[in-house]
Amino acid sequence: MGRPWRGGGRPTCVDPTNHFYGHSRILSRYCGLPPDDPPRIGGVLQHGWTFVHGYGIGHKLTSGYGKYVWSDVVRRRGIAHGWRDYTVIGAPWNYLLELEPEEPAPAREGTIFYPFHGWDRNELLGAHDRLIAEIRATEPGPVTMCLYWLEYDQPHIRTVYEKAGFRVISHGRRDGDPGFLYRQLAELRRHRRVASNRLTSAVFYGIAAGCAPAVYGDPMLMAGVNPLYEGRDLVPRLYPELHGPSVELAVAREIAAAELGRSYLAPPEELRLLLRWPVPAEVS
Amino acid sequence: MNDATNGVRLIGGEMNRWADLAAGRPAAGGPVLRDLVRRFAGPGVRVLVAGPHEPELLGGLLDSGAGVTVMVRSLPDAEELAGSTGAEVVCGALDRVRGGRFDLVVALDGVGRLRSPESAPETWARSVERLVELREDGGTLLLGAENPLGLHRLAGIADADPTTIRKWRPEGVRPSGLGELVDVLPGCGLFLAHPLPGRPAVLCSPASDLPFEAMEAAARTSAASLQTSADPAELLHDALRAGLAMELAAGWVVVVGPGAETLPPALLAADPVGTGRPVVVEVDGGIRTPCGDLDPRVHGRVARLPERLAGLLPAGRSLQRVLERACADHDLPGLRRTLRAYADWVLGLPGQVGVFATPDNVLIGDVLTGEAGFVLADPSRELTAEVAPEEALARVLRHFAIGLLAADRPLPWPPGMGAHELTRLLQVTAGRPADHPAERTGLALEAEILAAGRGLSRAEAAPLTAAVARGEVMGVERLPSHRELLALHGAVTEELRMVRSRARWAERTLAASEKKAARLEKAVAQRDRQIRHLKGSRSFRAGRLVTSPGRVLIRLARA
Repeated sequence: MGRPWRGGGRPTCVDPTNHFYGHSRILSRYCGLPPDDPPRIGGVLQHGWTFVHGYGIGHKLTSGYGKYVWSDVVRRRGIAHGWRDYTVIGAPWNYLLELEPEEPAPAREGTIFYPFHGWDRNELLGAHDRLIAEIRATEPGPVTMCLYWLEYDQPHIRTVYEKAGFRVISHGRRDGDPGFLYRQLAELRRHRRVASNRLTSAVFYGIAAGCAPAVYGDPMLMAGVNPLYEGRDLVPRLYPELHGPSVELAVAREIAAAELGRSYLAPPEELRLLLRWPVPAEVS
Repeated sequence: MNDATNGVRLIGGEMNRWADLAAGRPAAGGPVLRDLVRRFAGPGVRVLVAGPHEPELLGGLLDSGAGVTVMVRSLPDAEELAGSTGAEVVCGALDRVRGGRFDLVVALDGVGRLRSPESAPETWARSVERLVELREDGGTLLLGAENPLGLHRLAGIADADPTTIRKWRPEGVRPSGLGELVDVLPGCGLFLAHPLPGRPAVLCSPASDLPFEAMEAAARTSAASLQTSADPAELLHDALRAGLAMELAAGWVVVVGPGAETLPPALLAADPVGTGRPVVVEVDGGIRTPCGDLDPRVHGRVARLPERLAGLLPAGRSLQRVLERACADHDLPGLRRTLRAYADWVLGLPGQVGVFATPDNVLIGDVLTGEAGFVLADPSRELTAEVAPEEALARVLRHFAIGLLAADRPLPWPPGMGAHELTRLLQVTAGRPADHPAERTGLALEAEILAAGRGLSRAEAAPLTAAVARGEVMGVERLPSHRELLALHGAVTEELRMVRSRARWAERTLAASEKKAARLEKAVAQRDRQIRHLKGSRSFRAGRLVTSPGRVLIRLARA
């Protein structure tokens, strides 16, 4: 069987961010619809963990369509923000985990570390050297540095980590790369620990994929980011339990399940109706 | 000396150009008060009915063999009663009544319409005293009193006669509140009356252990016809939760004299399924007993079998409220759990009973144990024809969906879902397949049962049936109040906003696509020109000449 996410063409969309990280394709596959050609979603998917209303700044949402978010707290924040039309379906990651159950594999080893990334328009300011020192002091086993493509494409950053003796990888670009989350899941399942210098989607994904989490190190600053979306100080106050070089696993799992909306996982048929997708037969 | 005219005895203070029965607020009556009065009547009992009461109530008294005297202030009313009933009719004001002692005095309309302009102003307490004096020793007075702070007034039920305010209206027509009532009539049998003081669907004593779900359900059956500024159901719910049902009741019924102790703590009316023959039940110590006429009520294929109401009164939380709460909280996991358990339960019922297991008629017995024990609040309705359980489920979910949309409840689902789409989603959330053939039957059943409840004939029901089939919500559910009307207006405005916004988005996307297409067309045209230009060039023609043998060979090889 080939990889389920292979396939080209730009699918139809209400919002292009629905296809980030292959989200729409994962949901389409889960619903029994063509994984390479997801139908148009009747709204906008939340595409990353957030401590605000589910969407990034400057993300112009088409009003009149649903907002599909990961957790109920995001919906409540959104309502308080004056937004509406929320439906909680949980993170696409949950659906991926349903599609790709963990198979017996060699023992997990080492730590996968996600240094806080900038995004396409903001570059990161921070001392990579200081971070490397902290990781070395904390992590007992081998370390994989997973860089965002933006950093990965800059040889000088990549080399800094390679010289430190870390394995350096990237899961790919979030746009136009349906294999992103599949690769991320495979990597996370190889590692015993997931860590980052900021609490981000990757940490929650890692917890859900069976890793022990840690959040420590210089949190770095994103250049020119709107203060509303800058969680450097806010997030540690929100979840002090998840910060530190070692974190109580049971607590972390509980929080991750809530933030990823694990209990909101909808059966395929229901998810299909929630996304206002046609019945599988009508498509193929 | 009293004068008599047209069989009416005139006692003074009568109003010649006035009518209470034909105009103004409705006369006291309804199934519950009829049942109450019946309990005190019997052969040889001398009864005075003081004030306007509906003819059915008088008829019941006369049928019991009681000797009935009716006293009204309006002469036209008196003449009509004298002509249409076998009762002795007296016309005039309460303060002119001399002599005459009765075993039973019925004044369930209150004292307000017992006085005329000829009467000197007096307090409510004084009028009550006059009524009390009309009793024989050991006789009973059944008195109605409106609560000025009643929920019907707080919900702003429009006065049936909007000109009343400009008409003559005496002072002291009602007590100032529960306090005055109890002061004036201490130690008497007291019942709250709801949702209208003169036509209650519920009579309930403070000692009753009636669960408030039962009271709400009974109030709902008659509240649908009220003109209110807000649906009183919500206010009633809050009043019951706050333990203020007695203080905020629409009114009270007081039993002065013997007999109060023999009355059941609660009397409730049940929906007559469009037959106009209501069913009344009494509730005592958690046991429900249907009263009076136990014959089945049948309208079309919808039947109510009153004897099924006998037995333990089911208790529990209303499933409707539990589901509405889960919707408002966006508790989709909770909705899934509850709806699945509910659907399994409905599918286990015989279909002809299951079609009436709508969430507003279902109680959840014990939620804490995790094993939801569902029970029908009113198990007495059934369809006289065979129905598959799947079809019954399709109907109850359709009914629930329409209700949610009509009330503009906050919903956890994407915006702009119509009744068809929402019903399908509820089916799936309940763990059933989305496109079930039962869906069509469910639609037809919903229309049929709605129509029967309103007493509509098959022909009269056609517009309603069509509206249900189109998935409409407006015109299917009745809007009981101004608040609901406003809510619906809000919902329609919201839908318009959404649709406009989507149209704008589609326009923008289309414009962008057109621009892109135009650009591409232009590029293609330019390429075409270039190609034509190249093909016309000498070097191209020379090249073709040189390569022509090769092309011929390729063509031959392919053939």
